[in-house]
Amino acid sequence: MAELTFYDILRRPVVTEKSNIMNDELGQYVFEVALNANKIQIKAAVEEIFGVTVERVNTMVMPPKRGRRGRKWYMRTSKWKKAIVTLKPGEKIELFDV
Amino acid sequence: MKFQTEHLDNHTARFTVELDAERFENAKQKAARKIAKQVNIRGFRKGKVPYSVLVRNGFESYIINEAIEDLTQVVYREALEQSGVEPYGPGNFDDIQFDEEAAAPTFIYSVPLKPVVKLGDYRAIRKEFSVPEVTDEMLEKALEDLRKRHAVVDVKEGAAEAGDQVELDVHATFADDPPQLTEADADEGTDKQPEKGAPFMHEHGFVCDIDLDDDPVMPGFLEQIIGAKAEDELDFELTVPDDDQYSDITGRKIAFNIIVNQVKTVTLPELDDDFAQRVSADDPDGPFSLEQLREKIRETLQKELESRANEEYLNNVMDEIVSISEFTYPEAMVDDFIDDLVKELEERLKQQGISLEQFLNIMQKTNEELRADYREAAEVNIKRSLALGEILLQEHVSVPEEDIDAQIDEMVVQFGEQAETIRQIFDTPRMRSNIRQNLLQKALYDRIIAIAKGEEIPAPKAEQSQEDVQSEAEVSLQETPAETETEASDQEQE
Repeated sequence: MAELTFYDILRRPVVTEKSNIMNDELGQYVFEVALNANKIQIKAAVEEIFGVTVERVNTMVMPPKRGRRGRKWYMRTSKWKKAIVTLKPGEKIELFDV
Repeated sequence: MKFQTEHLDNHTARFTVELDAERFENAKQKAARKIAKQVNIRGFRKGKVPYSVLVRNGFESYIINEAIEDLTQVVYREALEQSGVEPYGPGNFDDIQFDEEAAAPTFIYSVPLKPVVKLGDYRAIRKEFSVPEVTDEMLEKALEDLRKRHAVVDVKEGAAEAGDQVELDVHATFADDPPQLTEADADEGTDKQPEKGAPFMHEHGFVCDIDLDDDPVMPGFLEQIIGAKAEDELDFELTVPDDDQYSDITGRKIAFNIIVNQVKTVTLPELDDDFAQRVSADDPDGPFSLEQLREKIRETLQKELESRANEEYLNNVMDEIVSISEFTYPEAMVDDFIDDLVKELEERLKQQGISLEQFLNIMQKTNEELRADYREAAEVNIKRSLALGEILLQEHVSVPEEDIDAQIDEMVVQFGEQAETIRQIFDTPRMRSNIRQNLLQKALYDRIIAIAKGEEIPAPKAEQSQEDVQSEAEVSLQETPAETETEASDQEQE
């Protein structure tokens, strides 16, 4: 498999109530990342793209979820990898607060 | 907050208020919280969306609008307070200047100012006052009317004569072709006349007295009726006379077809003591003899004449006062007054089952033209009520509480046994204030009349603090700029 670029690794920022609180109070930023990206790659990507110092990266794979809409339609979401990136205290990622 | 007041020509003031950046920021935050409650953004519950997320989702312009909307009212009130300007009515939010570079917007308001009245020397006005005497003619006429009202009407077999009463079925149509309209007529907006055969009058059970001097339809009509008996059918033609009543169809021929239903004699009661007693039986002071009745009628007529003369006199004096005084008032005041007049008109029309639009259509007028018609009346009225308000302040006219009590007594006494129950209805602060206003208005009119008649009126004493009176008068003037009813406090007047 071709090597992942930094931009392949970080799919999108996760902006929710919870992530928002983590931004403000813990200096943690949440991303959806490529499933096969590891913590080291994520750290490198965040440091490179946003120009910040990453202290710690936690990752988790979010399980797929199934549901049914009506009698006939089944739907499912695929699994994805979530990364919680803790920055050096005092640093910020601009994208998250305008 | 930077603030600036300018006075414009048309008696309005303009406020220019530049807001502090910090304050605007706070307002935006507040607005964002409000908007957050209304929008759905993925990942957030309603009302939990932070400011930054809203902005990122394109809600910034909404936030700014909301913030400005919130601020306009508050800022206006503050500006008004700072400027010390006395407004006539609510100000207008004219414009907002909001540059990209400026951190906060600049608000511009225009405020109609409180009218200023410079009364002329109204105390120097003197006018002749005279009440016409009741003439014998007027008295006789009144008696005659009274007799007619008590007349005895009997069905009669014979032919109708002058003085009788007839009941007719009248069918009348136009009997000739309408004249061609010239172009000049059309330009003047003269309406097309009715075609031949169009109905002119159609009435069953039409009752009229045969009085040749006072023809209810047109001259010559009653002459045709004279001599007819009950159940006769008459056909005749008449030419429309040159008369105000029918100015637009003068000269047309009308064909009448008439069926006489009944002929009745009218017997007027003799003018004697008997008659006098009969008509005055219900009078609390009656019954009267004929001589007393005459006297009584004369008194009533005299009172009528007096009140009419008083009214006219007051009008004249007020006109004079207005003409020697100077008024400045904002355009908004005139507009408000015209609004009231138009609304009144609309109410009246509604009772007749016509909407304002229909009325305008019939009159072939636009709303603007209607308002322009009312303008003059509105201005006269405004000047008058302003002058009255000012005179009220200068004269310190007041109504003591006892007078109000007396007025209530007078009103409840006619209810007899229920008087005490009724009193409870009248003796409420609200009713009292109404009564006070009426009495006050009357007292003020009396004062103005007395001054103009040259009666000795002591110059007003400014015992009570001027401000009290002023503020109260102000309030009511603002509430009802059209009315002359002004409420003053209960200062004691010696």
